[in-house]
This record gives sequence, C-alpha cells and structure tokens, in this order.
Amino acid sequence: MMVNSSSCLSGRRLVVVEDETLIAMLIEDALIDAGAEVVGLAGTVARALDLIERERPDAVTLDGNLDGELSVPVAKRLDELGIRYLVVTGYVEMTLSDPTLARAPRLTKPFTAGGIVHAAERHLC
Amino acid sequence: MRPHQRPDDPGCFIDVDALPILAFLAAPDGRWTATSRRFREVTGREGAALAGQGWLETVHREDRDRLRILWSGRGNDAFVAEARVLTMDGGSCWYLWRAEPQQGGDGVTGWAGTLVEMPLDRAAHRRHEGFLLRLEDRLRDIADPEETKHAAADELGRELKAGRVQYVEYDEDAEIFRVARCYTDGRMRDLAGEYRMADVSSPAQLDLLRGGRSVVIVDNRLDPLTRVTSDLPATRAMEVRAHIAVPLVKSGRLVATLSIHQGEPRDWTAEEVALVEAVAERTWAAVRRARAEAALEENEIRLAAILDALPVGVIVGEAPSGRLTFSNRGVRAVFGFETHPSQSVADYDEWEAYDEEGRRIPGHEFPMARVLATGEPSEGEYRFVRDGGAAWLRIVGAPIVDRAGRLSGGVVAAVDVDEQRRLVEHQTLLVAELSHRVKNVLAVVQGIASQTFARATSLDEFREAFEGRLQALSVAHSLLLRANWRTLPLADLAAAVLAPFSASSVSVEGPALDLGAKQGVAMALILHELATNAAKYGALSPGGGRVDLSWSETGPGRLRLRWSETSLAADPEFRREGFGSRLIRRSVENDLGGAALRRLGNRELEWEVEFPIAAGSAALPV
Repeated sequence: MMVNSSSCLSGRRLVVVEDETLIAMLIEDALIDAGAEVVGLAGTVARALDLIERERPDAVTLDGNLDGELSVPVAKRLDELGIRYLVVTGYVEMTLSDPTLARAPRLTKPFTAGGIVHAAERHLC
Repeated sequence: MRPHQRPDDPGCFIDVDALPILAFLAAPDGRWTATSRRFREVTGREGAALAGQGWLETVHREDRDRLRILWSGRGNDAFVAEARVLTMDGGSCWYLWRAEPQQGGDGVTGWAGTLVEMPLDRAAHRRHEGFLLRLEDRLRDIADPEETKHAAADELGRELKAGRVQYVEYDEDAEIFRVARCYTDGRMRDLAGEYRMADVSSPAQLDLLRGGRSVVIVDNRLDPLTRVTSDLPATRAMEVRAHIAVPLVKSGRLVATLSIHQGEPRDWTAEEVALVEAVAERTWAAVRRARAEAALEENEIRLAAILDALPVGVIVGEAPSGRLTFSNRGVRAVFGFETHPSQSVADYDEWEAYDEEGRRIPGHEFPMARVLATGEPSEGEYRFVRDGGAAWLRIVGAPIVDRAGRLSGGVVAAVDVDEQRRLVEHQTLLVAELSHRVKNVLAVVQGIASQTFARATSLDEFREAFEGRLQALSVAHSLLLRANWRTLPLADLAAAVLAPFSASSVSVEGPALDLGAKQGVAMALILHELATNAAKYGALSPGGGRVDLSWSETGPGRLRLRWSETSLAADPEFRREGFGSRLIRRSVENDLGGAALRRLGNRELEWEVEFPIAAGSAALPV
C-alpha cells in the first residue's frame, strides 16, 4: 500500500465511529493509506464517547446512525471539545432531522475510498 | 189569518192559503205575529207555538243559527234567505224565504214574508254542497290510494242511490281497463277485474272521454253513442242501462274514469252530472295526494335503509343554526358514540378532535360549520377522541340546497382513515429503513470488494475470495429474509455457511439460539473467514483434519462460541494472522460487542468468541 505523506491528513490521529465493521475497515484503510493514524474504532454511542475521552483524537469520522441510535450525544461532545468531525451516513433524512448533525459536514454512503479521503482532507484537516 | 185586503181596493181579497206559498207576519222587532194555515199544516205546529221566536224551531238544525242571525240582522231592507223547514213527515224541504217591511206613517209597521219551495235542482245543489264537504273531510283522512277510491265510490253511490259506482283505470297501450273498486246497491254485481276496452265501449264513446268530456247515457239502447255496444255480451253482462262516466285525461290519453251505473234507464239531471264530475275531481286529487304520500314514505324508508347501510357516518345539519337533525347508524361505528345532539354551531366545540400538530379543532372549523357558513364544500382529516382511544377520521362536507337555490342545510360524511394512516406511516418507515439497509449492504459489499482486492495477488484469487465472502453475506441475508429481517437461528446459519466446505470434517453443536440481524450477518462473515482459512491452509484443506464448532450460554444473555481446528496438513500459512483474523477480531469487537481469543498450538488452532446476545434473541427451548 502506498502511504501518502503529502496529504494534510498525514500524522493526524483519527477515530472512526461506525457500526458496520466492513465499512469501518474500509474507512480505516483509506485513511491509513492517506497517512493518518487510526487510534480506534467504535460501533456504539457509549464506546465512541469512551474512546474519545481516552484518546482525544484530532478528528473523527462519525456514522450518523449507530445501531438504531442517533449519534447526537457524540457530536455534541465533540463540539464541546472543539474536535472536528465528518458525518458519514446512509440514513440522510433521519440525520438531517437533528439540528446538530444537520450542521456538520456530511458524506453519504455508499462512498469510494477516494471519496472518503477527499472529504476527510476537506473537513478534518 | 184574515184574507189580505187592499185598502185602496176593498173588493179585492186574496186567500193566502190558496197560493202555493207559506206566509207569515211579524212585528217591527222581528217577533212573528201570524202564520198562514199552510205553514201550520206543513210544519205540523200550532200558531201559538210559532209566534215570537218559536218559528225557529221549525227550521232545520243545520240552518237555524244562520237564519236567526240573518233575520235579526235584516235592517230595513227586503229579507232573502234559503233554508230548510222540518216537515210533518219527519223530513225537510228547501225553501226560499222572503220578507218585506210594511211602511206606515211612523216608519216600519211590520213585516210580511213568504216561503216558496226551491226548484228541485237548486235544492239538490245545496244538498250536494253539504255532501261534497262531508266527502272531502272523509277523503282527507285516508292515506291509502285504494281506500280513497273505494270511499269516493261508496259515498257517491249512496248519495245518488245508484246501482253501481266504479273507479276505472285505463291502459291505453294494452287497450284494457281495470275496475278497481266498486260500490253496489247490493242488487247489481261487483265488476272488479280487467276488460278489453273494445268489448265494452264504442270508439265514439272513447273519443269523447279522451277529449275530457263526460259521457251521460240515459238509456244505452237508445243513445246513438252506445246503441251498438249495448248489445255486446260484455255490456249485457254488466247489466247497465244508464250511466255517467267522467274521465281523467293526461296528455291526450285516458287515464281513469269515475262511472255511475243504473240497471234501468235513468234521466240524469244536470245537477247529478255536476255532482259526479265534482266527486271525480276530488277523487283524482285525493288519490294523487295519497299516492304521493305513499311514494314519499316509501322513498323515505328506502333512503333511511340506504343511509344506515353505508359504512360511513352521515350527519345532516340545518342552516343557518347548525342544529344537527339526522345521523345514521354509521356514525356510531365511526365516531364511537351515537352523536352529540348539537343544537347550534357553537355546540360543535363539544366534538373533541385535534390536527396533526396536536391543536384542538374549534367547532367553527369543522366541515359542517364551514359548509353552513359559506355554502361551499369543505373537508379535512382530524384525530377524534372516541371510546377506546382516538382515531383519524376524514370528514367531507357538502351543502344542501332547496329548490329555490337557497342553502337549507349541510351534510357530512365521516370515514375512518386511522388504519390507512397507520399503514402509510408504517410504509414510510419501512421504506426509509429499507433504504438504509440497502445502502448499508452496498457499502458492506464495497468494503468486502476493496479489502479483498487489496490483498489479492491475482485476479483469480480476488474473484474467488470476493465471491466466497459475498456468498456468505448472501446466505446470511437469505436466512434473515425468511425471518422478516429479524432473527437468525445460529444453527441454520452455521450449516448454511459451512455447506460449501467439507461437511464431513465439521461437527456443529450447540443449543437452538437466535441472533439479531446485525449479529447474524457478522457471524456469517466470521464463520466464513474461519472456514475459508481452514480450507486453504488447515483442517478443511486436502491435507485433512477436523473442526469442532460449538457454542453455549455462559450466563444470561452471554454466548461463548468455540472454533477448534486440528490440521493434518503442514502448511506454514496455517499459523499466520492474515486479513481474515483482523476481520474476525474487528467484527467481534464492533458488531458483536464481545472479545475474541486466538490460541495456536502445533497443529491446533482455537478461536474463542464471547459476546452478549442482542436483545430479543435468547436461547430457544430445545
């Protein structure tokens, strides 16, 4: 795998919050290829909040819907901590229904590896 | 009474009693002072009894008050009146009464009067007037058209002492007539039934009738109109010699006749013909009225039946008050209660309903109120409170307009759309859910593809690996679909995923258990990875070996699954942690929310996965 050291993501510590493992791994791999460091994966609101407290990442990719639960509490905590995040979602209408999530930069599923990197460079650097 | 003597002509005497009149004298104040002998003979009273006001006792009861009032209000002019006098034989007779004031030196000195029998037809006329009033009274009370015909025939027959009276209805197209109801004097036969017109009436007769003219036959053997037909068997069977037929014609067609029959020739008087015509007229009117009322009643009954059969609630209100005047049976079913007997639009506030935002609907916003206010249709959907909860109802209202075009009321129909709304809501949810799942699955497939591609060293290897993983995914979803996307029985899943591999080398053991959708799909991919690796480098490869897959509940809602592999092959790749291992660990952590442990021996490989079973998937009783 080619590691891109010229991307602004290079060296950045990221957390991937996503409840579908394979999608999480896809995001993880894409970001790693872009030079970022993925310090953890979380698939539920509880685990995500815990991970964020422990790791205090530079930026986060956040699935809008975690196993039926809207990830609003995670978004709010990230706002409090001043940590940037990109909302990744397949459930557009539901995500848009919440003002906090609706405000944030958004990428809809399905996306390509290039797409996630591009969005991450744009919003998480 | 002394013979009247003219003062200026002493030789002239007139015997009052020789004249065909009854005579009387009265004082200026109206009291009678003398009556002629004829008067006393006709009435059978003594002179003394007739004096003063006594003469009134000889007047027919029905005419007495009228005459008394007329006599006392006579003033100074000539007095004229028609009234009946009760005669010696117990009957009465119509008289024309006249009286003139006698003028003297100081004004009126007295009154002199006469009673003259009225001409027969005039008397008959008055008699008939009374009869018609009585007939009208009787017909007014009858509601049934058939009874109306019978009553009219009956009254006429008895009044004119006829042999037979019939109400006949014609069917010009079929050229038949039907005799509806018949009065007879007992000697003539009742002719109720159907007859051919040509059998009885001549064309000339029928033409007269169609022209609206009454046919009057004094003797049907002599009258040119009937001379020919009088000899026909049908006519002779009817035993008629004289008759009057009064027609009812509509649009030039004969509809009915009222006819009166006599078995012998009869010289009908003009008055009698006039009476039959008058009775006929009143009979048509009464029959028409009775038919209309019967039709109206039938219509109302039918309408009520239709309204009650409708599976919707129908309510009618009157303009402008808003008072509710009608509600059908459907109202109870739709609203859950009989109805609020609202007396005005202001009362509509008692109907409790809310809109989509939960706002209470005020009475004047309901369709009925709007219709009554604007005269225009109005509709809406509201959540009505009713027994057992609340439900969405669709209310459609329309104005009711009278013949003059004025708004006379409003009608609303209410339909229960609660179920429909729920279904639509549910459908909307399902579609959103489906959209989410599909997008997810596509993303997962995409993930599989990219991960597989990244690790494949050749296109063939990619295809095989990709297809295998996709197959596992597909298997999981097939099982999910069968269970309406809710649960996956672990045993079925294991069997389905492991099926493509050497089944004889695999043992599967564990209690019947259901996994949730997400966990089931993850487990499918995990088992697939384990089996694929075993097939490439381990127990399920040509080298041989065995696999024991087992699971058990370690605590309430906690599952431990164990994959024990013993390989006879000696492949170095057996020991390596590749992508499959990474996927397994990640998936166990992320999707199952549990922990994975990998133990490696010389030829043994063991995976132990522990995780909480998602809610709703507890072990089933065996």
